[in-house]
Amino acid sequence: MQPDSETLKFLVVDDIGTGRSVLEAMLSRYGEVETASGGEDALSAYREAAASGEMYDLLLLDIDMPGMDGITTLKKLREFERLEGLSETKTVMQTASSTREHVQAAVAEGAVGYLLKPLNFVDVVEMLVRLELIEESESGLVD
Amino acid sequence: MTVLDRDALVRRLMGNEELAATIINGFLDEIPDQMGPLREAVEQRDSPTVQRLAHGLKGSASTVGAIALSEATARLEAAGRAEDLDDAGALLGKVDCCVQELIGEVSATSGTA
Repeated sequence: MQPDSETLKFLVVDDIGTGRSVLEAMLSRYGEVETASGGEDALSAYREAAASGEMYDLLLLDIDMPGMDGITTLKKLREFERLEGLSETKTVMQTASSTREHVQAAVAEGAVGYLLKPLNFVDVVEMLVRLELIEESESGLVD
Repeated sequence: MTVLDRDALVRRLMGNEELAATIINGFLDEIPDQMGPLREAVEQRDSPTVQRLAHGLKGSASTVGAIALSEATARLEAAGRAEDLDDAGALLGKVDCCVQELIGEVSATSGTA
């Protein structure tokens, strides 16, 4: 079933405040955006979402974060999903300068794409279309 | 060196000038909170913290198109990573200078876009 774009729920995880605000601004026209400033914060958000019965449609996770990095965060979130019997949230990594190893590690944990920073609105929207979260006709990219 | 490539930011936001202004102003509001701890870390010669804080500031600067500031913070981040803070005071001075230039440029152009 195609999710209704009005009910899409996003979780943006980035230690950099400006990074969070940019994605929040870009995604807010397609659904509800929550933000977390690090891995622990993301785990708390996951617990709350699971408790409310409304998990995220898309997780956008920064790789290069101090403390718990994006790959470790993703592993912990996957572990949480397994323990709770939840399906894997579609996950897109975002990065300014990641190595092939980082990207491979994220793919191994089921990440389905990555976005290069600084983020471009068109790339973000095209990703939403590719992941079938929105229809191309509602992307705002077609006249 | 370009202080602020506002056009690039606006292009990345699909021409949304208002959103670009909001993001730039949000970044300027955040800078003091980032510069204070960064200055303290340089004074205490705390390389890992210098690296981490400079990295964060670099990411934000790059996001808004503050090119000169992004490059200045990249040099400070590299010094932190190399655990060589001998020139960190001068590098921080350059970062400070870029911040002032950025504030100047934003106030000079605000309201004219």
